[in-house]
Amino acid sequence: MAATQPSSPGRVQPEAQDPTQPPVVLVVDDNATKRLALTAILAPLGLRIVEADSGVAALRCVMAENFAVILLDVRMPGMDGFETAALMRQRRESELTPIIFITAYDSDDIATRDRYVGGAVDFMFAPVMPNELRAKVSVFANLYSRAELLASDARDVQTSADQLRLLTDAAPIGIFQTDAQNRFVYTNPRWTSITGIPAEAAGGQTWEALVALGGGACLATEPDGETDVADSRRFEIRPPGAPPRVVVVTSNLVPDGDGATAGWVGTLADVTAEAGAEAAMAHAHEAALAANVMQLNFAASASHELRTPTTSILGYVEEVLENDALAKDDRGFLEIVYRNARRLSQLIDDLLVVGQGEIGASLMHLELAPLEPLVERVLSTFVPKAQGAGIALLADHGTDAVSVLVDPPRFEQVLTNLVSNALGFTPSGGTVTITTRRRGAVVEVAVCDTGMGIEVADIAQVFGRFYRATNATEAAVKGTGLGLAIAKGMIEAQNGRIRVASTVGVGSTFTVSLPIPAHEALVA
Amino acid sequence: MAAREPRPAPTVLVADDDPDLVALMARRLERAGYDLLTARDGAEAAQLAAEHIPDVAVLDVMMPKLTGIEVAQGLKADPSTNHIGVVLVSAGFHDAVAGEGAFVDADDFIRKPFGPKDLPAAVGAVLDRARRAA
Repeated sequence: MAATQPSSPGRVQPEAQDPTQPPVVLVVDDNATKRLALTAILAPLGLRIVEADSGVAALRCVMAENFAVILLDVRMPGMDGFETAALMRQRRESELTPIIFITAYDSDDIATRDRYVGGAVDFMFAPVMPNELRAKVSVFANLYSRAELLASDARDVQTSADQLRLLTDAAPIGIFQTDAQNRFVYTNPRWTSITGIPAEAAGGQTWEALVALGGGACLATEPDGETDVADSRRFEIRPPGAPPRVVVVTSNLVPDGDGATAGWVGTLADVTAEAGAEAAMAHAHEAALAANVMQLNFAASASHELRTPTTSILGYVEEVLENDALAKDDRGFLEIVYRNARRLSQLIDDLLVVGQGEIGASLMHLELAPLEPLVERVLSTFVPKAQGAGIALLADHGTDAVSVLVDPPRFEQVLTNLVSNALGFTPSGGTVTITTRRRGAVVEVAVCDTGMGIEVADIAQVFGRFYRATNATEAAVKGTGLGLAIAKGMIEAQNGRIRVASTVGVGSTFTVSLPIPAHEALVA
Repeated sequence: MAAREPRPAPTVLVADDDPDLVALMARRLERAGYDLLTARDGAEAAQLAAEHIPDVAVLDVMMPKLTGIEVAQGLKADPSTNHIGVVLVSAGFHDAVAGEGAFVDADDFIRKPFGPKDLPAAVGAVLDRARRAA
């Protein structure tokens, strides 16, 4: 009997009643006095009252708006109350509107009205009792108000649902819903465009069935870091007539009221591009590794091809030089050959090391090693040379036995090059000092000489390959011009730095700095 | 390892694809009093080693057909040849190419270029260790 307006999509609604406005009562009577009396009786209820003086006028009113209740006089000229009610019932909007017939007569009217009118009807006999009328109308008006509120809520829900549908239809990600058996009940257009499966074909099917149909497969179940109800999986799918795609399906459980599973809602994302990028990166990494191996193979071949003939040259010259009967001039010439072959051999070694240094950190075998013993080991190899040249070789340690992360043989080579350089450029009577110090987060090894120093114009270039300082060439200091380039490349491949400070005529200081490993820093 | 009959001079197999180097190494080892076998590639070295069972094999790492490392692996894997001492001759980088432990099958190795006494010293040291172990 409630006059609820059923909401269903596509249906044209009559003007929706504003639930905040009072319900409206239609009073139909051909007698203006009686209408006035009824209106006066109802006035205390605070309802709006619309009057009609005939059945036809009443029908016009019903077509214009919805009423909470209609008071209908039975006996009217022309169309009587029953006919009017019957016509009202034919209109969908008013088929359930409660009607109270008002009649001065009794049994005849009541006996015949069922032939005309169904639905919620009531009878009152004139003259009506005001309290009784107000009570009846009040009940219907309240029912109507509540029905209108419900209808309004229903319209809001429908509006939300419509907006949500618009959103999911336009969403750039696939969205789906499944029932408790994991069969699709909803898929959005993006879901269809990713999978190539129309919503109609997906309906009632499970995801596994659809994937299997296309020859796809679950690639991996990705770890789920967010919630314990979300499940995220990666699939390769093969949409009909399209290249395979990699998708990530994330589902969230929808519990029903009893804690069981009502189904799942989730998203479907096309990650083919990202998967492709990952594959490309992996490929690039492999290519880099392959290039590294190629470079190593090249270094090994180059090394073999260059060192084998120098071994022969040096070896056979050595053999001939062992001949005591060699003519003096011939021995002198051969010694020149030998000395130059040694230089060539040294140059080859340096070149190969530079090439090796360029392969970089991947070739370094870093390990924790106490710094000061490394330095001492290098120094000890230079003691005879320093003594022979009349140069004082000193060490000054101050690192509290710190260890550094280095490739020991290659770190020693860096120091060897620096000390060799320092000795080469320092005149007899000079001093070469190696100092080790902690400086904040780094440890520094400084090789300081009292040599000729480096011209300001040359300083920026001393670490370049084959660079030889002007004064070095003038002073005929031997060298290939690769020692410092090697030292720089090698120390950088061990995460260190090298710098130089120099004053012409006073000397130069080459400083290597290395980060102190975290746990070593705590020892300090 | 079973003790071997003392022999007047130990036999050394020298294998390198460079004939000049083979001749140089042979000359120095002969002067040090060893009997010599020479091979020009890895396959020949493996065959000679299996036939003549030298006391020491001096193998260039980079040789055609079989590398020195492969020949060494073959010798050490075979019970009839695994007592042969192996000295690898490397020009460098092979350890980096072949990876960690590439030289584990060698008893010693020398680098090119080597001085007049390096090779006889390495061969002598390997023989000394073998005698002490025997």
